Amino acid sequence: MTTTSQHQHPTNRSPEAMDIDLPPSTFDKTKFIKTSKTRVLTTATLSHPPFSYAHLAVTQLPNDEKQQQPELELDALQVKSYLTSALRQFLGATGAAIPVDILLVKGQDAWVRVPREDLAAFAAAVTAFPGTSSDSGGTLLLQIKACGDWLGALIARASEGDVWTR
Amino acid sequence: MVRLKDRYLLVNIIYTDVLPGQSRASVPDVLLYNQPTTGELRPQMLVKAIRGEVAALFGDCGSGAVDRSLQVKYLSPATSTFILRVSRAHYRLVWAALSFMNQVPVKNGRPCIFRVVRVSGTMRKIEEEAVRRAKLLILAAKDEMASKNGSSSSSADALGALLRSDSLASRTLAVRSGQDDSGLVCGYEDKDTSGDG
Repeated sequence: MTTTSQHQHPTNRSPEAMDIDLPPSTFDKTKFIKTSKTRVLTTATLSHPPFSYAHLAVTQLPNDEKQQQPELELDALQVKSYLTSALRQFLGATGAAIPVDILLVKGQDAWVRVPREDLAAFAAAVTAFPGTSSDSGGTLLLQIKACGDWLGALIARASEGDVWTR
Repeated sequence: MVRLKDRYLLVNIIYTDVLPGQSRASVPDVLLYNQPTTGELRPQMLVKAIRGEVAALFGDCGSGAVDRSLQVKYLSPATSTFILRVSRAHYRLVWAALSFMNQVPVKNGRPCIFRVVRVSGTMRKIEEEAVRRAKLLILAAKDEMASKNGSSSSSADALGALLRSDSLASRTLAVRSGQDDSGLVCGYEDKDTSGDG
């Protein structure tokens, strides 16, 4: 319900408007742009990173259920030899020629780097690897935990589980 | 209806273990390079050799892509020419495997080169090309014999047309001077037309 006030507002005010409402704006917004506090100085798009990264794990399948498998010590040479045989079996000589860089081997995990255009073939070859027989009679398999173009994202993804369980 | 599209490769077998200008002066060099092949070579041996090479170069993935559709459509030991059919998506794997093969796939095979001279989507164009190349070979041999016997003929048009990969020039047999053998590298590719496949 309107009450009389000092101002006489423009006639486009609805009858239900109350005094505490702000008066309708009269300035033209197209002529006045509000400055924001953040300014974009420059943008850059990284469209073709040269390398892709993969987080692999080596697991052991025992021959029978009850057999206890000792923890295997993984080093870079072993990882390289498993990857080479996986690539050679799936992709032949051109697969074995894919340049794989081993970045880190820790426990049962390995981080490797391949050229970006070879990531799909590499992932397929590692997944299709039938495994090699290990010393204690089981089968050693390779497993891709994650792969992608950005190493930081892979590392963060790997440690996600640790936030809640430890 | 979905069309299964293939590529047809026309391949020559070139023999390398002959030195030009040897004592066999009566035979022109171009015929020495394009000798007939031994009669032991059968289509199955050729397919087996190509499959083995694709498996060695490209592994399980490559041989799975190529094996189903690989077939020798025509083999002529007399002219050392054969025609392969491959699926359209993966014919380059077979071409690469042919580049790596260095001997005739028979027992104690001679060292040789497998040269792909034409890729086409239709069998008809491949056959026409094979016939055309046979004619050019005869012309080139005649030119060479004529120049050996001393009569001055024009520079080897037919030989250049045989070796060249540029289609227009080879079709019209244009006279060029100082041809280089850059045509030895690859054949000429035809896209398949909407006609027969």
